[in-house]
Amino acid sequence: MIEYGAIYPELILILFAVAIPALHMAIKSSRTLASISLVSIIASAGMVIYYMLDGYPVIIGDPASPLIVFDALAAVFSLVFLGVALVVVLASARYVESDRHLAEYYTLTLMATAGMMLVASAQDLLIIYVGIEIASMATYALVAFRKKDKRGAEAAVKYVIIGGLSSALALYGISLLYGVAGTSSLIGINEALAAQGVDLATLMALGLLLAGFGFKIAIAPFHMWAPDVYEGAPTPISAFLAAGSKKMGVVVLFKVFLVGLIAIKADWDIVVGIVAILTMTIGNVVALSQTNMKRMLAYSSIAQAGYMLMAIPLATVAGMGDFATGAGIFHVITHAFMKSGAFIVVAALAYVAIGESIADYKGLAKRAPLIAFSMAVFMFALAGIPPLSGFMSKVVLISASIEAAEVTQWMLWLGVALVLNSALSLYYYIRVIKYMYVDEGDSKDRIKVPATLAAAIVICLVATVALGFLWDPVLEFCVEAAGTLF
Amino acid sequence: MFENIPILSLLILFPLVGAIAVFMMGRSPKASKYTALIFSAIPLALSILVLTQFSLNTGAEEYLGNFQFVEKYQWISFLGIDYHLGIDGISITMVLLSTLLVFLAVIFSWNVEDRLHQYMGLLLVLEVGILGVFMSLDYFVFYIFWEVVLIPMYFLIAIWGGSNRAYASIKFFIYTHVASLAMLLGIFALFFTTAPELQAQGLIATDAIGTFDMLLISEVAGNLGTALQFAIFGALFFGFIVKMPMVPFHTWLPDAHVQAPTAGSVLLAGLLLKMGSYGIIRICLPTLPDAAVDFQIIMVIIGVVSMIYGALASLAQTDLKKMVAYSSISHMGIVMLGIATLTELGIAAAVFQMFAHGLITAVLFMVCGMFQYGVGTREIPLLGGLAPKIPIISTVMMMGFMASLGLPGMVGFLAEFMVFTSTFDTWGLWVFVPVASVALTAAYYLWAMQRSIFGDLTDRVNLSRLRDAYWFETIPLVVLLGLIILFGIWPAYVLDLITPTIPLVFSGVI
Amino acid sequence: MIPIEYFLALSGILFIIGVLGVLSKRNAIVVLMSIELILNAANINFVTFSAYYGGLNGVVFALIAIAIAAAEVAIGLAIIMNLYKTRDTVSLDEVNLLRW
Repeated sequence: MIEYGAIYPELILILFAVAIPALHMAIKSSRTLASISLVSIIASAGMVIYYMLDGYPVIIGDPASPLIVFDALAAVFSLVFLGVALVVVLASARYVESDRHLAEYYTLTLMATAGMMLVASAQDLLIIYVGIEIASMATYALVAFRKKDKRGAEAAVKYVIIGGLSSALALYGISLLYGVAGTSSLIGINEALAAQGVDLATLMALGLLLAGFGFKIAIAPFHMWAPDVYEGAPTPISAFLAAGSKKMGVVVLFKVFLVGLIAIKADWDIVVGIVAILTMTIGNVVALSQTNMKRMLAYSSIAQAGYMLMAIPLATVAGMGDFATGAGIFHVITHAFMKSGAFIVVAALAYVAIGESIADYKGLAKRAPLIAFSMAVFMFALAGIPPLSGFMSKVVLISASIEAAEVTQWMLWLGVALVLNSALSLYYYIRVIKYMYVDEGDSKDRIKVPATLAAAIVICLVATVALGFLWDPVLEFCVEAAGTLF
Repeated sequence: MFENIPILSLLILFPLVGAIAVFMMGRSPKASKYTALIFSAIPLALSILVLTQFSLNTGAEEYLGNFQFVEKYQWISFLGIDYHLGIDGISITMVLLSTLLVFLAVIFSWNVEDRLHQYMGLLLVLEVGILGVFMSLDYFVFYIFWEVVLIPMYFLIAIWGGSNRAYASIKFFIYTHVASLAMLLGIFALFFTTAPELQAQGLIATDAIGTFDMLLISEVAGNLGTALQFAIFGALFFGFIVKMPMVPFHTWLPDAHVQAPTAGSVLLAGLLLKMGSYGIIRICLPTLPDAAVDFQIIMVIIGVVSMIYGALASLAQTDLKKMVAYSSISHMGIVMLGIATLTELGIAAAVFQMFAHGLITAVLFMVCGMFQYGVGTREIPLLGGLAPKIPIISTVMMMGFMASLGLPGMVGFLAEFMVFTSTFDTWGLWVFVPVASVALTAAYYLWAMQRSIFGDLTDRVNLSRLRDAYWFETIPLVVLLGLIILFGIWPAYVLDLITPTIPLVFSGVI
Repeated sequence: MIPIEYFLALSGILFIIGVLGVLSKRNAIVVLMSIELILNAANINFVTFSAYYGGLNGVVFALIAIAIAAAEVAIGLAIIMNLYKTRDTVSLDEVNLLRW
């Protein structure tokens, strides 16, 4: 008899996801369906927290080459995904209320969340692949949700083709690794590679995996699709992609590189380091010239993914694994809230018919003081201004890079690149604030934002500010979670 | 008497609470004005209370034991970050200056019309950051307060500034933020490189990654390799001189000043610039004394060049406010020169000059503000013969200019005199190079004064709309000028606070 | 028995055809078909290696991958049809409201 405790949190979500379309026969109200979705998210989070307090469930699969392990790492990422899903569902309740297919919207969101959580607890490339596909397919449909919208349709096609290509490349890489190692378990692959060293097939697999998963996270040079898709997608879904789906890619890279391929780290650490620097630099430089809010946030997400990626080479330094990966995970958490907050502000303003161009935000401070204030906080946090959470997580990453540099000198450049990029990024973040506070808008009417959207913004705001002060326990937990990888 | 009261935390807390309260009073400008007044008066009263309880001679033999009212709580155990506050003779002068200037700035801003509650709130947030910088003894907390200062100042310039405010505010933010990031790298380098030595000496636990405690780090940082010390000093120094600002990193200052509203300018010149020199005095010199000696020649050159460049640039300005802004660069150059002598007298003089310049420059910027609103322009060529029409503004302007050019009997004179004395002690007759800038200073002030308030009455401004100072403008100026004369005649009131501290703090360099 | 290299060569050729197809074709449906070729190349690898190592792991992986690929094509075609409905084209060169 197999014990399925490790996937109960996912099962709760899937159960509700299946039930919601059926309930839609009887319940027409978007608000009620959103509430039901929220209940399932909270129940799932409760399950995760129960596991965290009461001990983790038994693993699924052979202990030597496990399939699914719900450990601290899975818990912390699950909570991030559930938190993002919570905020997104809250923000969507009004967004989709007039749509005939609103039940499917919630179903797909819950499904995608379940897929992401499955990835976070997977220990086998097969499960990782399945989890990614569950999440991806749900998000393809979500991006295409506004069927009549020309830009939405275009974004969805781009997303589905790039997504399909990326998972095909990754699958081919996985098949090669399977051929080299004779197993698809991450631990087994690592043991095999440690024993037999590196050959051409392994390097090809490495490149294909980096490309395949790199498309998912939108790291340079595989980032071109992300701004288009984020711009065309419904805005809450953009938040979901930037704050949820992207983090799924990050956890995959953590697992594949730091568990499965750690034995051959000498062959990839510098490559990943260069990719990280390229990603943050390209993201920031291109963001400078954006005029559309969602595109700017998309490029900013690319840059932030570069910061997270930095943790991977840093974690290869002996003795640094826990701390560096923990730093990366901490940045994942802070970024999830800052970025979904910013996207939801865009969504809230779009709901009251304010455009998505940055220039449309002129004079916002007088029209909607609280929204403008929240947006300013998110922008400052993304730029890394203390004492907000974005500053703290960047500081931890910088400190990891300087500490790693004592062993491996070139890693100092990762920290330097992060610092220079922070300075660069300040310009486009502060420009948003300038438009909101300095410039006079055409209209002076007060703006009233729906309560659910406001609630979502407030959740992100509180998290962004609070994580700046109370990060000691959170960081400690991230480091503990990272410890399960090594 | 106050052992059990965290009085320094209260100093930070009151403006913060006040700021939140004021932000929420959007409906009633009057209520927010009075709330801001009360919440800026409380820190002033508290800091005077601290002064009365401050002991001039703690009997401490070394840097470590010299801090008073120390508060230390663990914040992030993981990275060795403590919430650690404390003051010594150097910081208390800066704290007093800060609470005083913010209080006066609140009064001076009494009739701001646009979004008054936000304006007052930002002034109070600014006070939180500035006081935090002057009191924190932990690098991390220091850095946070240092950056917190940027945000309210950015908004003050960006919202209430002049016509080119967007450019000036972004330039201000980016310049100083980039400099702080360099400083952050320096701080991290200190954090990691001092950890092994601290562990070896048993000052931190053996399993700790390191500590951000300024005092502990200063104990061992002198043992680092020369090249490393030099590099770390350079990173920190860069962060500080951009804030001061010194030539060639000064270009943000004239823009920011010209665009900033009056209270913003007062606090920018009076306090924010002091944060830079305070950083050098509090962090660079005591922590890395050997590197300070290596950097001496660089500091001298930067200081003297700033003095002369600032003075020459002032001569060329037609905008009264821009002239005063450049004169700030020149006067901060004097501070740098005093620090660079690396003598007891020189550093004490530098701190005293920081205090003196804080008072004087506040007067000057308030005068500029009154010209803007009372006369309608600050362009010197448009003015002339206004003294009989606006007697209060003219008198105050004259006294402020006299104080700034170093008239004996006023606070600026003694500070500059001490700097030049110590320069003479160290480098002999080279002192005439910086002294030349004083002659230039006298030239631009006298010239500006003559053109603007003496001579024939101008017909290029609308004389019918001329007005003299309001009560809320006069009060701060009277207070400031009173203090300028008081400390000019009895400088010992301030110097007695500063001088006992100097040998303890700078035992490594002097 | 056919040597393993033959199967791997077949899968390698399929993979290259697939990648070239994605890069060179502008018709969204053809691109989707090319992606399917890459997926099938991977499946051939799985089955081959499974036979080589013995056991059924690889075969199971291939079966799951086929099921997922089918679902993916269903969603992909639906989205492409939606594009056709709104824009009257399935050429990737002509969908340029958003800059690539």
